[in-house]
Amino acid sequence: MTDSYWSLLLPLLRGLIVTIELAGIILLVGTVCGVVGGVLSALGGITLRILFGSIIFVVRGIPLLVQVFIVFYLLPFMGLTLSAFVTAIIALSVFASATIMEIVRGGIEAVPHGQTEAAMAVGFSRGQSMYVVVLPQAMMSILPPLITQFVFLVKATSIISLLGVPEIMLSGREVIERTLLGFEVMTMIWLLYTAICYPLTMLGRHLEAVLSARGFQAVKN
Amino acid sequence: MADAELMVRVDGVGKSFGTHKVLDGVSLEVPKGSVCIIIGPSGSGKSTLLRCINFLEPYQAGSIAIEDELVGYSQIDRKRKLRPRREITRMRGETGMVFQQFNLFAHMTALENVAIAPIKVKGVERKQARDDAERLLVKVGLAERMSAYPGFLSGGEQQRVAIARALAMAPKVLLLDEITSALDPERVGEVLEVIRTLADEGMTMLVVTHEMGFAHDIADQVVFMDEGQVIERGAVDILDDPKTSRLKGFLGKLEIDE
Repeated sequence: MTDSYWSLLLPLLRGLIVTIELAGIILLVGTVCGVVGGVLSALGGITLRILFGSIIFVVRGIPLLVQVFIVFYLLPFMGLTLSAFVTAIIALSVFASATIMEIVRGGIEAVPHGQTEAAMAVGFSRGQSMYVVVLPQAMMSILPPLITQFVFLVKATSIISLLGVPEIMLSGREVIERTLLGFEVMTMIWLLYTAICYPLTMLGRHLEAVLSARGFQAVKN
Repeated sequence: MADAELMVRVDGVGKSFGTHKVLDGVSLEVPKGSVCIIIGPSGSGKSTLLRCINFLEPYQAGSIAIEDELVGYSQIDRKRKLRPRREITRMRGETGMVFQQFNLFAHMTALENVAIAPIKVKGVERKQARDDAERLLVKVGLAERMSAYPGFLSGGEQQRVAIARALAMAPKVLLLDEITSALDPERVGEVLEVIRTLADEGMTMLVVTHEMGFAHDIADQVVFMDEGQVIERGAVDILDDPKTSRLKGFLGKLEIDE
């Protein structure tokens, strides 16, 4: 009995590693691009705003699954032959960057304008005002939706199974086809996703607690 | 016209938002070490004028100079040309501003609020900046509150931190924009006391205020503004003996309010 459960679990654990790799890269790329994009669109002029605004408009209007397939078919069309893994990363990173950009921009704009003015008045450059004064305060309002988005993105990697990337979901489906133990395997899959997402949520709570202990408060006045 | 004794020269400054003229040919001169009080009804352009002096707001006509250095523009005749952003930023650092709403950096302690600008802008060493900040906070009477975050300080305390923060950059001139208007009445005195000390020490200040008694005490010069124009300007006795009917009316209204 234990042996058979192990034979179910082992492919899933291999899938788990792929999922973690995928999610790790997507969260990293999404966060970096999202923060840079969010700061630029909060600081920048009308051109940047329109550019980023239209990216977000497009990304929001398409179901994630459809986006993934658009990228999947678009890349070869443009003459790029990439592995399914890389295609998946590109597709989900675009989505992650756009959504995180909105979260960051919203957080920045929630910081009262007086903070920027006071920063400029003591002689900070616009960049300094942003990273010394505004961004740290925006953190408190960025963090909760950001963590929610992280958790969503981790789970959204399951879509990638449809491209043939052997992450948890695809590995699981293969095990089910072999063993017909649908419910057992799906339960394992569920628990494995939870094993990634729960610590992520806890990390978010912890960070919030650390920040508020250091005087970072949710934006007021 | 260069004048070594002049700190701020405002010459025919105009600014409008759309068709609304906020400043309409405003001129005034503030000698070094003197206190210029600006009074006037709300919407008269007093705050906008202060904000133009450190170029938080651009102006569209005339010129502003601090120690004969033009604020914001490198060229004002024919076509206006903005100065490089770096220089606008440097001049802001040489001009202290205190706001009605304090605007302390909410995620920093009182001490950090005061120390941060010298560290980041002037490159002062951290230890040195903290020592200086401590000295300034002691000066404004907040020796006990240095490690408190703004959210835990009273309005009067926050405003005194804001004054210390402005002083930390050793500004050439202080711009005070209705700094007691958002305070509980019993907190006004402690803030004005700090400003009195600064005036005694010879700090050059432009002060927008509605506190007439205070204005009387520290003003070297009083400027009365209305509808974006300087209506009357002179020594402190214009408060007792106004020449224009508009200033007379304004002062009369204040008395009735009190």
